[in-house]
Amino acid sequence: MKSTALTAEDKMPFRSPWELILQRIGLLIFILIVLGPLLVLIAQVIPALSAGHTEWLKLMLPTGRRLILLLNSLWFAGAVAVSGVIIGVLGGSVLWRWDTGWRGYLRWLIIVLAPIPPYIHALAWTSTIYTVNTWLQNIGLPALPVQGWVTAWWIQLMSLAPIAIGLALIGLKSLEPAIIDSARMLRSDIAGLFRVILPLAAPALLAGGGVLFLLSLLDYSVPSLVNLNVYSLEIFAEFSANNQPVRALLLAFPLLVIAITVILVSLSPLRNAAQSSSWRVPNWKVGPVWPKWLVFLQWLALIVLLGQIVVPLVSLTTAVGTLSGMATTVNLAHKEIIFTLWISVIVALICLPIAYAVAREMVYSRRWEKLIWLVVITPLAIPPSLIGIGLITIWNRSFPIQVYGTSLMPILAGIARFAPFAVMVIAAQLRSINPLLIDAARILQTNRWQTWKQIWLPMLMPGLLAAAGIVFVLTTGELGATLLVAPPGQATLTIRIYNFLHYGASSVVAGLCLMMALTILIVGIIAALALTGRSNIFLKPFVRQK
Amino acid sequence: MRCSFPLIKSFLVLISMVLLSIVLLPDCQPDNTKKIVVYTSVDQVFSEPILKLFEKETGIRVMPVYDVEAAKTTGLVNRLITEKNHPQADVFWNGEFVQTLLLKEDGVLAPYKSPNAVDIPAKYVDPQGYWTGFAGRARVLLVNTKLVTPSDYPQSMFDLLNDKYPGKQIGIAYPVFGSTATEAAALYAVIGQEKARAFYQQLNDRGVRVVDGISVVRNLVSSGQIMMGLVDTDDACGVIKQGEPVAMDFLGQNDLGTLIIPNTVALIAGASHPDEGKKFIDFVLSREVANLLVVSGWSHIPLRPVNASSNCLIDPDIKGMNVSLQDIYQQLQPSQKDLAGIFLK
Repeated sequence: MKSTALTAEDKMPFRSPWELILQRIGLLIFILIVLGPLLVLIAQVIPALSAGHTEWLKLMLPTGRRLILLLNSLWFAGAVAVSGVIIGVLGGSVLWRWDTGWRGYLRWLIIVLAPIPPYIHALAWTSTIYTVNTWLQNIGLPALPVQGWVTAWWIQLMSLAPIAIGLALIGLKSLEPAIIDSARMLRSDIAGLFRVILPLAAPALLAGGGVLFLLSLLDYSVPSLVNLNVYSLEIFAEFSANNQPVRALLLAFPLLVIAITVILVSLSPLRNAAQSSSWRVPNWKVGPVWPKWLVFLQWLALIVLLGQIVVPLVSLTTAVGTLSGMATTVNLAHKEIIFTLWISVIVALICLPIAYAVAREMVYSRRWEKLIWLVVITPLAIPPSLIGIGLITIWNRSFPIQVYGTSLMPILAGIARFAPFAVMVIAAQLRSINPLLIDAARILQTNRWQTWKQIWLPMLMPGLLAAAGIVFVLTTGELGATLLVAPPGQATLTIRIYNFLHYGASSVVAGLCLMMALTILIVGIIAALALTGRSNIFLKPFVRQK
Repeated sequence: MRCSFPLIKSFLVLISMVLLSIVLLPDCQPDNTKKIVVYTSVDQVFSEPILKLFEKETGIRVMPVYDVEAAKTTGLVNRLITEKNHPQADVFWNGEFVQTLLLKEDGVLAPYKSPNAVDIPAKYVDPQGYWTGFAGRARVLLVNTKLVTPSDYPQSMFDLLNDKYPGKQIGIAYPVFGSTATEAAALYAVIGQEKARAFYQQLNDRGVRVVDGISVVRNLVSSGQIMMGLVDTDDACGVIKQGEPVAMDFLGQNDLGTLIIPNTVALIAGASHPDEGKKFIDFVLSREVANLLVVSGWSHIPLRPVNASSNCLIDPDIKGMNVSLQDIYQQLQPSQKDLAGIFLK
């Protein structure tokens, strides 16, 4: 039987020479900005070793305190990843069936909370633990830990739960309904779940676990706020203490190796994400019958998820106090708020054309697809502080146009950190575009611009909007790289909150966090609407009805 | 599908938006107001109100860069050294003194003798005027009052070696970072390298809890997980203010004295705004700021009489260590090298 599936070659649209040139320029810019900081640091290793600093090589193999720190970090990230996947599968297996009506919107609401920075969860949960401890002490029970490993694990898990659920949903929704129906005809639903559904969804679940592991391994904001020292913080501290970029790179080497391995093993399935034709088709025509213990665990996971939403909102709203207090807080931080929004908008706007070029090159390049995919996902393994250190190394010198010490530095940091996410989203959108529509349009077009503006762009728009939204919200919460490159007098809101958070929860910090969460929520909803194919809301002003 | 959104128009709109956004960035705007770049390692929560007050009183716009706790107090110092040939900062306001002395040695600082420093004890002022100390904090033993009664409080650093206090019940931060490293260097300067090394070796042998950061020590003591730990007065005052069952114990009142750590302020060599920088230095060395820093809870030993009151103001007659800041600085590297061998194995 001849396969009817479209190959990459079939999907390849006509590309004019200048389009190809622009694509390659986009790819080059991507490599320079995103991989540049790491490449510059690598280039400095040999001169440093030739200068007699061979003992620095010992940093690549952590021993003593640093080995323990690395093992603790792996244990921490592993625990968050495993528990996150379990919650993701349990919660996702319920939300999976919420296809229509208000429940269909509700499940996306959970996912749009994903970009809320972890430190906001840290503030909310530590405040809640303090309140709960007061109650516990009143009835003579021991207090819950406010600091340390368990608290860090819980807060990190709560902040990443939406991502865990989202990736589990992608895995489950990508399954062909016919396969599930076939399994159900032969065995019970629970047997179908364990022997068919989960094995088929395993690549996406593995990818989810990989993402959670990476985010927990590379980010130090939550652990540092609850006094848990981790290896990624050590890199930042090492650079701060010695001002030697090469030392920081060598120290980061074990983390880079582990992160790249995890990426290669776990994230490759994401390359073809959103290609499934079953994405918008209900997987279950007749609801499954699960055993009671599984239903109990599913609802437990949903309660945890509900807590992940309710606790930050209630805790922060309570801590803010009055509306006038909130207004004062916003007024005090107005410079940081404006600067943060500005930077985030610019990063999102710059990322779009670069990411579009790279995504086209990746999706439509037969020969280099895997290599470009590797170039796109490798930057996700670079610890944020290393990106900041690399940027300082590149730009802290005399150039005709001053970049170091200006607002362009956090912009470059934002692009370096989040352009890969934009590429992945736009690439997924490009893959979902049916080339037959383009072919049909070509037959009737008066010129190629007409096909672009009337067919191509409207189909691409959800991906562009979602990519811009994702980059925007991630940039607003960026800390690790921005902390090192923020220019004098221009801190972001995240830096301000992070600095103040070391003194515990206050109405000022709570007000700022609440405002940040609401901003991210609004932009997240827009991005989610775009992702779910409702971007026509945004296109309407541009559509001319004839 | 009918849509009017031409490619050219969309790209032009995108590029225009990017350019407009960049042009509207604060750096790109013409600005005739007087300004000053201040790098400060003093926590933002304490330093920001002072900077805002300076702006209000002088009309000079302050562009601050704050350090963060995770940078172990050295982040800005290294940034200043890196930027030595084209400095961005005009003034460095440091929460301690060792790194400032290092900057002087590296040629990062410029001399300036402020008229507002005349009543600050000479011990805290650089004879050549490269830096001026003010607004002191002190090293202190934080004791959990539920676990130790006042009559059992240690009196001296060396009491920490007494079997009366189990090693696992005593906490210190790694003595190669921050003010714990400064305290170690001071001990090296006062009692000599041999004795000081032996003291820390014995501490380590006793199994004291060595943790990452003073805030961890503070939390361990206030939560009752350990009896006592060495911290700074600002950390101690923070938990006392929160009503935790802790008290400050000033060690060495009968022998070595307590280490007092002054803030330091210095002008940067080659600064773009030296006049504004000098005005700022005069301002932070004023009595008004000394009072404010006491009230805010950052400084507890103002180094000169102040009118301010604070729930954590410490007896100004407290006995300080009889050692010069320069001698402590000289011992920093040898002590760090020794202690890294003992504690970071």
